[in-house]
Amino acid sequence: MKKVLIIDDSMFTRNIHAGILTELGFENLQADSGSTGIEEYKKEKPYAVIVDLLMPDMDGMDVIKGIKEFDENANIIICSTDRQKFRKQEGKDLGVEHFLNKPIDKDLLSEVLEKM
Amino acid sequence: MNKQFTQLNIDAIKEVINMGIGEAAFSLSELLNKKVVIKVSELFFLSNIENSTEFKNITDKISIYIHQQFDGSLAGQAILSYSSKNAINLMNVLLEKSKKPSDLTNIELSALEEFGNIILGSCISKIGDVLGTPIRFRIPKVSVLEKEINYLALKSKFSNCILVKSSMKINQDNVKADIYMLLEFTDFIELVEKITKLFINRTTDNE
Repeated sequence: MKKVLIIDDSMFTRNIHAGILTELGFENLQADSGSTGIEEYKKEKPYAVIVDLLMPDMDGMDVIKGIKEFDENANIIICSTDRQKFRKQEGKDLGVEHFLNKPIDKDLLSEVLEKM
Repeated sequence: MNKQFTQLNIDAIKEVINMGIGEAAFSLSELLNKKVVIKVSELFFLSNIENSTEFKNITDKISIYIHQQFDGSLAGQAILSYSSKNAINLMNVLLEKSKKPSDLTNIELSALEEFGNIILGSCISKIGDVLGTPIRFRIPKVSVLEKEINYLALKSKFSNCILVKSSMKINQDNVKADIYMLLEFTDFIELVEKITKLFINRTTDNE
């Protein structure tokens, strides 16, 4: 079963995303902060990562940079409440094409995970 | 953390508020065509607002604020506040002027009121949309505070409420606005259950 790492400081969101991933047939891994998310990625090398942008310890873009430094081909999905075009562009500049608004749409997530 | 509620309960309500704040930042960013930096929200449970240290600490720092009440299935108050210097900086960005910090004119205060209406309206509307519940707005009011804070103007009529604190910054123009939301509720657990249900059944409206 493919693993997807959820990096989000909100336990509520991690639980919701985990439930959706299970329904879609993925195993989920969870990290409650940006720094633990990077460490978890290095340890588990998951198939994909769903990362929040707004976290207390570090900005999601810095988490993406940390993961990309380790694995430039990492499959990353940004899932955030911050949907400014500038943020989307920052994601694109880091090589992230998938930007989903919260609350996450199960069908869209499924589509994105299939395309990766 | 309030002992009555679990971290999961608190995170649920925070996520809905964050969607509102995210929408407010989106509106501000689109309006000014600039990147807006959002601060992670803080959430406090208040059982007695008049004696609340959090509330006093916040209101003591406010100098100019736009205040909007709302009611419906979710009732409360939203406040967008700035220091005088930040309000002038914001007016300079909005009106493409280079005014030096001084007193704001009535026209500028009116512009701030309209600006606050757009920002707070987008925030509250988003929360209503997410919860699938209509929220009615009252007309926003802009106030300039001097020494004494008018607690009564912001006082909640409910004994239980949630105070959410966040802020938005436009770094390149030295503009910072604080957002406070005072949400009144009668049954918090019922609200959390509703949010959970809505998130799990989520299937549309993503871009």
